[in-house]
Amino acid sequence: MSPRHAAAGLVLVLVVAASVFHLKYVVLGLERELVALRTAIEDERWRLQQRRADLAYLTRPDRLAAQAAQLGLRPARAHDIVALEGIGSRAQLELANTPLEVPLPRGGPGVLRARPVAPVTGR
Amino acid sequence: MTGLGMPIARPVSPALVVGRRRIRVVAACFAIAFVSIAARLVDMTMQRPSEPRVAGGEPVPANAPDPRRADIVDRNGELLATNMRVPSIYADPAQIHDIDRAADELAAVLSGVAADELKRRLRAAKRFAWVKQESTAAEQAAVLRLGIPGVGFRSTEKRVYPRGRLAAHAVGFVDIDNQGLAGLEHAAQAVLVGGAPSGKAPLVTSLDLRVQQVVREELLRAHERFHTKGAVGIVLDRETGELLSLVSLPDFDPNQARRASADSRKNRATGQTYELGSVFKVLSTAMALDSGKVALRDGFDATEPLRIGRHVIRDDHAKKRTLSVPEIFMYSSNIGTAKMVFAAGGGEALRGFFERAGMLTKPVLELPELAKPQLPKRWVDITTATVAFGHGMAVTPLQFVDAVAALAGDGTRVPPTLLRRAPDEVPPRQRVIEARTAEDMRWLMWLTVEKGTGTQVRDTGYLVGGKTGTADKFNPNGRGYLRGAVIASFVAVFPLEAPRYVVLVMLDEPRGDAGSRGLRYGGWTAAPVVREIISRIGPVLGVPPSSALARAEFEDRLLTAQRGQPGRRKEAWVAAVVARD
Repeated sequence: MSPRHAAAGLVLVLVVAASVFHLKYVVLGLERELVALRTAIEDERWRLQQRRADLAYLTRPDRLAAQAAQLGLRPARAHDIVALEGIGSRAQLELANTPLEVPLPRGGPGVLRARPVAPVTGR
Repeated sequence: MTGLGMPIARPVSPALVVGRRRIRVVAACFAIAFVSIAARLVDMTMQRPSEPRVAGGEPVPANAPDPRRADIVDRNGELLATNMRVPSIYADPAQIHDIDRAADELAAVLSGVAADELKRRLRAAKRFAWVKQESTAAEQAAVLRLGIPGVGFRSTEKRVYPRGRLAAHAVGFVDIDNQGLAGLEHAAQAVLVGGAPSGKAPLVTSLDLRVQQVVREELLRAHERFHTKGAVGIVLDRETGELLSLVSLPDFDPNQARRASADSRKNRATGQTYELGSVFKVLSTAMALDSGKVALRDGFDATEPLRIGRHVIRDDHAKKRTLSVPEIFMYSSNIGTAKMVFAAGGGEALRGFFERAGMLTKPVLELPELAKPQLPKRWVDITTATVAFGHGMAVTPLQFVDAVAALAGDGTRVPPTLLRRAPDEVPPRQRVIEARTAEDMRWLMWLTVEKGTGTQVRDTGYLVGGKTGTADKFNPNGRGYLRGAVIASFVAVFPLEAPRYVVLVMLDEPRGDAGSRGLRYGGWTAAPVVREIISRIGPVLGVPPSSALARAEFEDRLLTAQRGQPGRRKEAWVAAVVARD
């Protein structure tokens, strides 16, 4: 091996060594970054978990019920629900709102009022 | 050297040249090595003075398995159980200069930590001792402010139940190592800790928190009003077998399960058996009608008490006359029910029917707290008679609800579950009784609510059918029954025109009050609770109020009976022959 070849080989080895050294540190740096990111994600997941637990705690049905009662609200019941066909039309409501004067059998006038609609739902 | 002082060029040995060259190469190698070391030193000391540190917790290696337990949620995704990372405080006694002082200071800022106990622990340990596991963020801050050397923190995972007591018995709880000890936490342990490394899917239960809240609230009200020892409330969707609510009182806070008493941790809905009393007549009557040997129009003499050997069976609401099958059911006649069961085949037939209805074996549910039914050893006549009206055989409330779901629906049953079922996940239904018998049962249950012992359940806005029950309470510490102690219950099905939900309320040793006229009967104590539950959960579950048309169908059947027997006593219309094809 001539000195020139030896020198060239040495330089090559140095370049390769430096490249590997650099590459290794880049990889190590990326690994650290990856671990940091994973840890950050994990931390965020825990924080999210905490917020969800807080929300669940604050929206306990008994707490909401107590607050609703303070606002004058009450639980809905079946009687509060009306079928659409059970609601009178505008014409029916107007008729119901119009008193009709009729003569009574015993004499004298009387006033008749129509019921809006017969309830379809309920008892 | 020559005489002229000129150097004489001697020929250089080739070996010397090679040797020098090798020395240079080796020197170069060493130089490279030293330069590399120097570069690394510069890199470590100047460019990277320290390793990167990540705030907050341990670094997470890639592909690490997720150690957390999966969340538990209700059918609508509402959180029932989850995990939180909490700081735990430890100490290295070797680094603490004054253990007594440190222990006193720590005990002053940490709740539940006694100074003497802490001193003892710190002295006993060499390099590690827990000061407090699962502390709060405020306590962590307080300890940091103390600045005691040798005291550190570790993050540990803690299972929390944000809804507290609401679904305590169904969800269960875990031990300090996060291993399930009760409820779904125990039964679904493998599912909760298994799964994918990241992002476990939550365990979705069949419970509906809104329904659960209503049932628990109404039960608590009854618990306080009637001074009961315990109470059970169950709501079952009979279409899918899903349990929408499962409440057992007294209950406990699963966040502090270790402090709860054994009695409050007991799941009375699935883990304890009861003689349920007259609600069992739903089963006996269904068996009799389904046998084909008894028809609605048949009558049984209930004028005198029934004597079997040395035993005498009486009626609580005695009419002292012959009663039709509907009357026997709606007036809850023990005499009539016993005679009806004997007419339908007796003990053998009743036992076979109970087997079909799943009453003779341990119930199947995703809970570890499941009790076997207490069955009579021999089905002699007196046993058959008492079992027919709910004495002499004890089952869990869950098991009973499961059977009623079949009898008051279309005659088929599907196994109950605490986990949400999609429509295509519902297992095949098993037939228990004929659909026509189930239709008759619905009518009988409606009669009981409209005209019989269950009138307290009227006025819910829905067509409701039900049956009352009042059973003497078995003495667990001796023979016979406890004097003056009863199990009051009411089972209901709604809406009857399309039966979907079964509701059971059971009160353990209620005491009557002025509102119940001093009575402890199920019709006066448990029935009003059922009325409140149904009228509140109906809108929540999206059930429209029963229409007048649907109501008319049930009333028509009644009117048909009335027209057939004109001129009898007020209640005689139910005794009339019912048109049944």
